[in-house]
Amino acid sequence: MNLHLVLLAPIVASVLTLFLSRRDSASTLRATMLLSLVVAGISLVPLFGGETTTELRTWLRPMGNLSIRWGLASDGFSAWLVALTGILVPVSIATARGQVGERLREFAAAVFFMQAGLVGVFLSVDLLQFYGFFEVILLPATILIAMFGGRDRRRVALLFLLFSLAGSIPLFVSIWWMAAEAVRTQVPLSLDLESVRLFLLTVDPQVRFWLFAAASVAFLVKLPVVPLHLWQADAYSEGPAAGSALLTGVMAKVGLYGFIRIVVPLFPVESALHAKFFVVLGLVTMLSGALIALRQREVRRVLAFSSLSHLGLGLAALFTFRPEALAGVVVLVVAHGLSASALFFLAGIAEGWSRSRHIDDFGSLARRSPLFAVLFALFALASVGIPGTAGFVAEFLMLFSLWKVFGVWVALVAGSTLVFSAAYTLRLVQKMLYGTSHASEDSASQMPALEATVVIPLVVALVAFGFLPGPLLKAGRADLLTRLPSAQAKVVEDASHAAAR
Amino acid sequence: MLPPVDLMALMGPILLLVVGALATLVAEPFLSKEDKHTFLPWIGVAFLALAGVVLHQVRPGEFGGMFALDPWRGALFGALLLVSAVGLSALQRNLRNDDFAGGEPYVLLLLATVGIGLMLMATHFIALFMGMEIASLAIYPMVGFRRDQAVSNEAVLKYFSMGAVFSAVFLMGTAMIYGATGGLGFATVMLGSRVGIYLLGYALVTVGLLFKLGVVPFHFWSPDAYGGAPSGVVSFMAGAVKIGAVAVLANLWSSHFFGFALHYTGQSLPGIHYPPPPMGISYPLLGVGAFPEKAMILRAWQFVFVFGGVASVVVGSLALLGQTSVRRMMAYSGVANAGFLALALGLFVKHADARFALYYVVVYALGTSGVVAALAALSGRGDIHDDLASLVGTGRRRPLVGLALTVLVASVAGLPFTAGFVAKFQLLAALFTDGRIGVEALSLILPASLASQATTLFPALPVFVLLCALISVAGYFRLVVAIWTEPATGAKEVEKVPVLLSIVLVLCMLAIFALAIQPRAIGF
Amino acid sequence: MTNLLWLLPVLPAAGFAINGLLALAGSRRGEGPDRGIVGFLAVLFPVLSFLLTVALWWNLSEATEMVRGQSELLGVKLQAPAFAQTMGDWIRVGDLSISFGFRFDKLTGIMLLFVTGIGSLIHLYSIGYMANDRGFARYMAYLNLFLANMVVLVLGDGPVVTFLGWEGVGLCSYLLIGFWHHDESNGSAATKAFLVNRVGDLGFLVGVFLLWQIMGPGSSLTYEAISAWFRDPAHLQQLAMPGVATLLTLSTVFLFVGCTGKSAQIPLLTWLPDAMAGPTPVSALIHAATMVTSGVFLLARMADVFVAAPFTLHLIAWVGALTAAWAAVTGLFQHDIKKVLAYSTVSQLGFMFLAAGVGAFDAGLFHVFTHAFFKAVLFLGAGSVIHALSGEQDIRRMGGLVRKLPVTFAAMFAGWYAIVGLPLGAGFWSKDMILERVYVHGGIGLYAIALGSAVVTAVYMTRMMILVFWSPSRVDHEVAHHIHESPPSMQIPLWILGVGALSVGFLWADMIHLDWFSRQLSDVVGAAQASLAGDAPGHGPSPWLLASFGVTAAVVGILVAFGLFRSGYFRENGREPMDYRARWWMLAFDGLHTLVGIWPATVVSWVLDTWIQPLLMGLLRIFAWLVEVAGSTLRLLQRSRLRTNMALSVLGLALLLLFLARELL
Repeated sequence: MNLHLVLLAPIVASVLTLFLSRRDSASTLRATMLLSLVVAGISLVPLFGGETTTELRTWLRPMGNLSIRWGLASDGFSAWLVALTGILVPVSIATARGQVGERLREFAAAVFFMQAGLVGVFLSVDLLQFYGFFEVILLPATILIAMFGGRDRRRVALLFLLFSLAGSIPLFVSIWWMAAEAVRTQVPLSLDLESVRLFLLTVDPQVRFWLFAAASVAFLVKLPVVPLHLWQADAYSEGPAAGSALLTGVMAKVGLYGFIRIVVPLFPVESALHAKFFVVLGLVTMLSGALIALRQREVRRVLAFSSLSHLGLGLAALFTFRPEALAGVVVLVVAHGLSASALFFLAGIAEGWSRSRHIDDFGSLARRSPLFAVLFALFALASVGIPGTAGFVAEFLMLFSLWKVFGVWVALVAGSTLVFSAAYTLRLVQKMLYGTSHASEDSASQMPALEATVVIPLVVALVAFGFLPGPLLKAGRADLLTRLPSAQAKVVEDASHAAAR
Repeated sequence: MLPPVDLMALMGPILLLVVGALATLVAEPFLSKEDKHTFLPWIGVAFLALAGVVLHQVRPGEFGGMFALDPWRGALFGALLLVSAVGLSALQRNLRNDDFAGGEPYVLLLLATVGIGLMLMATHFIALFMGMEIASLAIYPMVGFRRDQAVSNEAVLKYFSMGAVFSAVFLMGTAMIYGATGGLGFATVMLGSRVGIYLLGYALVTVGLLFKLGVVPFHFWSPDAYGGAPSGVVSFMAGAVKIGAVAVLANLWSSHFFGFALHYTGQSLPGIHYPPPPMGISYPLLGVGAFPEKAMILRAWQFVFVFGGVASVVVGSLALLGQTSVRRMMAYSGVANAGFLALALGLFVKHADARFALYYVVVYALGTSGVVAALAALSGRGDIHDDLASLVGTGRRRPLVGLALTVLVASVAGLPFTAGFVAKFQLLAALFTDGRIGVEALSLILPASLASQATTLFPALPVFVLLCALISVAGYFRLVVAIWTEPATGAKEVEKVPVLLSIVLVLCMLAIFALAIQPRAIGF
Repeated sequence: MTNLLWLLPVLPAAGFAINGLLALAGSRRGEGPDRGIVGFLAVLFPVLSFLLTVALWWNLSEATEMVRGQSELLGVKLQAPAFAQTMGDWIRVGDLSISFGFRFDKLTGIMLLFVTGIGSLIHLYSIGYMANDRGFARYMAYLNLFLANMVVLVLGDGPVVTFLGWEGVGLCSYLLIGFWHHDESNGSAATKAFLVNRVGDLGFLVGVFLLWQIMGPGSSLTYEAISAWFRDPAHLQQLAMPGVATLLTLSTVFLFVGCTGKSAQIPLLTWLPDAMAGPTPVSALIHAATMVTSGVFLLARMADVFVAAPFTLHLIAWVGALTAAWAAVTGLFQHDIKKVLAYSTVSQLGFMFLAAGVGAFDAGLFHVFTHAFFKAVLFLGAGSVIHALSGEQDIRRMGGLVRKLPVTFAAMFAGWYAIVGLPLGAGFWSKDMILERVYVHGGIGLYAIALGSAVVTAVYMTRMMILVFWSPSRVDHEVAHHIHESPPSMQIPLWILGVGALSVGFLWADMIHLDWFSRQLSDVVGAAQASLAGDAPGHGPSPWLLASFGVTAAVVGILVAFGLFRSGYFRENGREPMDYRARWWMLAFDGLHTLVGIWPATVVSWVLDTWIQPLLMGLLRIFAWLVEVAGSTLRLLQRSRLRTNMALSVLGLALLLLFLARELL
C-alpha cells in the first residue's frame, strides 16, 4: 500500500474532525473514536509491508545543483513507531474526554495533526522533508498545551515552542551549509538521506564534526537530555495529560529515532569518536532524571522525569552500537511508549477525580477504584522493568550491551536505574494507590468503561512483548545504523528539471 | 526578445478590470443597500476571474517600450487578481457589517487593482507613475471610508501625508533620471558624465518603492494605516501593494544595472551564477547600461537592501510579539516580511536572480491577504473585535475560517509545509550560500580589520534572521491559540460567513499548498 | 508426562488469574466475592501443582535408578537424567540467545516438593486466617501468583529464566507485605523490601553477565551448559589464568550479592524484619519457608561455578556465620513475636550460607528443607496465637497460653524443639550436619561462631516460648475473654508441619546412616563438593562428638533462657532492662544503608532539584526578558506622532543618500 495513504489518513481525519458538531460532544466522541480507530488500522499496515519505499521525486531546486526530494520509506523500526502512534491516538482521545470537556473536537483535531507530523517524521527520506515534519509536530503540541493546559499553560507553551524551535535551528542551518557547500564545490547534491550520507563522506572532517554536533542538538532537545530538558517537566505537567502522554509516548521517541536514522548513519565516524560523550550524557541524564523524580510533588512531574531517566539510558545504550543495544532501544521505544503514555493517561483520569495534580491529594485509590489501581500498578511495574514485561527485555539488553562495551562499573552505574526507577515509581504507587484518602471520599472515582477498554490492550501488549519480544528484536536489525531504507528508493527526475539541468 | 504585440492584446486584462470597475460603478446606484453588497462584489470577482482567463491567453510581448508582459509578470498579475478577489470579498463582509450606504469601495478596489496591474507591466516611468498614482488615489479613500472611526481618520491622514511625501521623492527621482538619460524608458542609456545625478535619481526612485514595500525606516505608516483601515482594505493592500513594489524594483534594477531588461529575455530570470564573482568584477555588460562604477554601485545597494532587510525583520518580528490588534500585528508581520523581500532583492542585485523575491512576494501576498480576510469574517462590525481578547473562540464557531486563518498564518510565519516555509527556506539557504553578500560594501565603510572579521562572521546573518523569524512565530501562535480556545465568558456568536469569502479562503489555502508542492508552477 | 513442566507454574498462575478477576469483579460488592469458591480455587491449584511435582519426582527417580543401574553395568559415570522442556526463544539477538526453558532435576524436585507442598498447606491455613479480611480474594490471588513465580524461579533452566521468577517473587513479596495498604507504614516496609531486593537483583544480573563473558560469547546461558563448562577439565587452566580468575571471583561475588538481597544476609538484610508487616501466613510462606531460601538454592544450582572461586566461598562462609550470629543476638531483644521469628529466620539462613560457604551445599539445602518445616510451623503457630489474641503481637502482653491454646502450643513446641536442635528433631540433624561440615572444612573460627549462634538461638527461642506460653498471663482482660483455638483449616497445617518438624530430619541422619536426601542431591552438587573436598583436611572427630557439642549448646541456651526470663521478669510495666542498650545493634545495618545509599541520593537530588534546575530556568528567563524588552522598546518607538515618524523616515533617507554619496563620489 502506498505510504502516502498512511500519512494522509490523519491529516484528513484532522480536517474532518474540525467540521464536526461542537455542541453534541457525545457524537463528537463517537465520530473521533471511529476516525482514530480507522487511522490506527491504516497505521498498522506498514508493519506487514516489510521494507517499502515510494519513489523519490524532486520537490525543490532552489539553486542550480541542489535538489530537495520528496518520498516516504518505512522499515521495521519506522513501522513500529507509526503503529505505536496509531495505537496511542484513540486512547488519548478517549481519556481526554474527561479533561477537555466539550472542546474534544479541537483536541482530537490537534492530536490527529500531531499524528500526521509524527508519521511524516518516521517515514521521511529527505533531510529537509524530515526537518519539516519535525517542526510540524511542534504546532499541534504547542496548541495542545496552550489550549488545554493548566493555569500556567501560556508560559509553558511558549517555553516549549521556543525551546524546540531553537533546538532545531542548528539542524536547519546545517542543511543550509550542505547546500552552500554543494554549490561552492559545484557538486550536484540531493538531500535524501542516502545522498547526504555519501556527500558527507567528502566533507572536511572538522566541518563534519560541527554538522554532527548541530544535528545532535536538535534530537538531544527532543529526547531530552540534561541540561536541555527544562521544557519537559513543565510541558508534561501543564499540558493536558492525554496530550502529554503523546508527547512522552511518541514525540520524545523522535529524539532517539533521529539518532538512529539521521545522526549515526550520516556521521558514523563522529558518532564512533564521540560515543563516550553520549554514553556519559545519557547516564548523567538517567541518574539526574531519576534523582529529581524522587523529589517531585506532582504526579506528572514524577512521570516526566522518569521518562527523562529511561530515555537517557536508551541514548547511552544506543551509543554502544551493539546489535543487542539496537534491539534493546527498539524495545525500549515501544515499551516505554506504551507504559509511560498509559501512566500519563491514568494520571490524567485520577487528577480529574481529585481535582489536583499534587501527589499528596491522591491516596487510597486502590480501595476507591480497584480497576484503576490494578491498571496503574501494572503500568508502573512495566516501566520499572519487571521481568515478564517488555520493559525488562529493553533494560536487560541495554544493560547487557553497556556492560559488554564499557565493562562492569559502567553497567553498575547504568543498572542503578533498576533501583532508582523502582524507588520513585513505588513512591508514586504508594502515594496514589495506598494510604488513606486525602481527597473527599464521595469524589467520583469509577474507572470509566471506555477508558478502561482502550487502556487494557496496552497492558496486554506490554506483557506479550515481555514474553515474545521477537518481532521488536527483528525490527532492531543489526544494520539499522548503516543501511537507510531510502537507499533502495527509486528516484524519478521530472522532465522540467531534466530541462533545467 | 519579447515580440512587440498589439496594445489591445497586451492590455486585455487591464481593460477588463477597468470595464469591471465601470460596470460596478454604473450598477451601484440602481441597487438597494442590501443588494449592493450582495451583487457588486460578485460582479467585481466575475471580472477579476475573467481578467485571469484573459491573462492566461495573452502572449508574452511588449508594446512600444511602455508595457510588457512575460511569464513572471503573468504570475505576479495572477497573484494580484487573486489577492484583490480576496480583498473584495473581505470588503463585502466589512460593508455588510457596517451596513455601509454605498458600493464605491468595490469600485475603488478594482481601480487600485488596475493601477497595480499597470505598475507590474510598466517598462516606462510615465506608465509606472500613472499606475502608482491610480493605485494610491484609489487606496487612500478606501483606507478612510470609515469616517466615524478616529483610528480610521488617523490612518488615512498618516498614510496619505507620508505617501504624498514619498510619491514626491519618487517623482523627483524620475525627473533626475530623465535629466541623466534624456529618456524615461527603463532601458534608456545614461548620457556620459552624469553618473552622480543618475545615481541620485535611482536612489530616490528606489526609496519611493521601498516606502511602498514598508522597509525600515520607511515603514512607519504601515502599523497605523493597517490598524485603522477596514480589514478588507488591509487584506487587499497588504498583498497587492507589495506585489507591485517588488515587481517594479525587479524590473528597474534588472533593466538598468544588469544591462538586459527583464522583459527582453524570453523566459524567467537566470539562475544564480556561482561561485559569486569576486569584488570589482561586474556582471556581463550586455548592450545598454554599462558604466564603470556599476560594480561599486551594486555593492552599495546590496548593502542597503541587506541591512534594510535585516533591520525590518528585527523590528517587525519583535514588534509584532506584543500586539493585541490583529491588523497591527499583521502590519508588523508585513514589515518583517518586507525585510525578507529586501534581502531577496539584495540577493537579486548581486546575482541578477529575482526568483527568490518574486516567489516570496507571491506567497506572502496570498498568505497575508488571506489572513486579514479571514479576520474580516470574525472581527464583526467596524472591525472592533479584531483584538485577540475578543477573537477568543471565534474560530471554533467558524471552523472553515479558523482553519484558513491557521493555515495562512502558518504560511506567513513560514512553518512547514506551507509555501511560506518553502519561500523562506530557499531565500535563507541562498543567502547563506552566498555568505559574503553585502560584505564587500561593509569593507568599504569599515576599517579593513573589522571588515575581515565581519566577512568571517557574516554567515551568521541568515541565522540571525531565522532567529527573529522563529521568535515571531510565538506572536502568530497567540492568534491561532486565541481563535481555537473556549472563551471564559459566554461565547459570542459569529454570523454566517459569506459564500464568496469562504470560496476565496479555500482558494487561498489551495494556492498556498499548491505553491509549496510545485514552486515551479510560477517559474521557480 | 515430562513435557508437562510448563503446567507447574501455569497452574498457580491460572489460580492467580481467576482469583484476581474474581477479586476485581467482586471489588464493588460489600464483602467481595464468595469466600468458599475463592478459597477452594486458591488451594486447588497449588495442590494440583504439588501432585504434578510428586508424579514428576517419581518418574525422575525411576529414570535415575535406571541410569545408575546402567552406569554400574557399563562401569562408566553417566550423566544423571533430568527433564528439560524449552518453550521457545525469549531473547535472541546479537550474541545473546536466551530461550525460555524449564529443567526438572533432583535439586529442582526437592525444592518444588516443599515449595508446592508447604505452599499448599499455607494456602489452606490462610483460608482460616484471612477469613474475615475484606481483601480475601486479592490476598489469595497474590499468594497464587507468588507460588507461580517461585516455581519459575526453581524450575528455570538458566539464570535469566530464574531471574524472571527471582524478581517475580520479589514483586509478590512487595504486594503481600503491603497487603494492608491503608497503613502507610506497611507500604513503606513493602517498598523497602522491594528496593533492597532490587539492589541484589542488579548484582545478580551483572554476575550473570560476567559469567557469560567467562564462558565466551555465543555460549548458551543454561545451568546445564554452565555446569558442563565448569566441570570440563579442559577449562581448568583457562580458569587458572589471573584475568579469568578475577572475573570469576567478581562474577560469583555479584551473584552472591544477589543472594544476600533475596535471602536477607549481611549487608542487605534490613528488609526482612520489616517484612513482618504482612499477614502472618505470608511471613511463613515467603519470608521463612520458600522465597528467602532461594539464595541458597541459587548457590547450589551454580555449585560448580562457586567451587571454582575459593575466595567467594570464604566470603560466603563468613557472611553466613556473621549473619547467623548478629541476627541471633538481635532476636534476643525483640518484643514482636513475628520479629523474633524473623530474626531467627535471618540467623538460620546464615547457617545455610555458612554451609554453602564451606562447600556443604547439600547440608545447606537440607537445612533449607528442615527449616522450611519448623519455621513454617513456628510462624503459623505465631499466627494462630495472634489470631487468638485478636491481633496482639507483643510477647510482653502474652503468656500462660499453654492451656488456652493446646494445639497451637503443641505445634510450636515441635517447631521450638526442632530449631533449638534438641536430639532427633529436624533441626538437630540438619544443623549438626552443618556444624560438622563447618568444623571439617571451615576451620575452628567459623565453627565457634556457629556454635555460639546455636546457643543464642536456643536462648531467644526459649525466651519466646516462655513469654508466650509458660510464664503467667499478661494478656489484657477484654482480649483474654475471647481467646479461642483456631479453626480446623488452620489446625490441619499446624499438625502436619509440626509432625514434619519433628520427623523430616530422618531423611538424612548420617549417624544412623540414613542418607536418602544426600543421595538425591549427589547428582547435582556431588561433583562440585567432591572437587572441593579434595583440598580439605581429612575427617575430624567422630560426628557423635560434634553432635554432642551441638546438643550441649542447645541445652545451655535453654537453661540460660529459663534462668534469665523467670516469671516476674516483666513486672515493671513491660520494660526490658537491655531494651535500649540494644538499639544501635539492631539498627546497625539500617544506619549503614542510610549512610551509603539514602543520604547521598537525597542530598544530590535536593541539590539538583532546588538549585541546578532553577538556576538553568533563570538563565532562560533572562533571555526571554531581553526579547520582551527589545520588543516593547520598538513598540514604544512606533507609538509616536506623525511628524516624528516622518522625521525618522526622512532621516533614514538622508543617511542612505549620505552613504551612497560617500560610496560613489
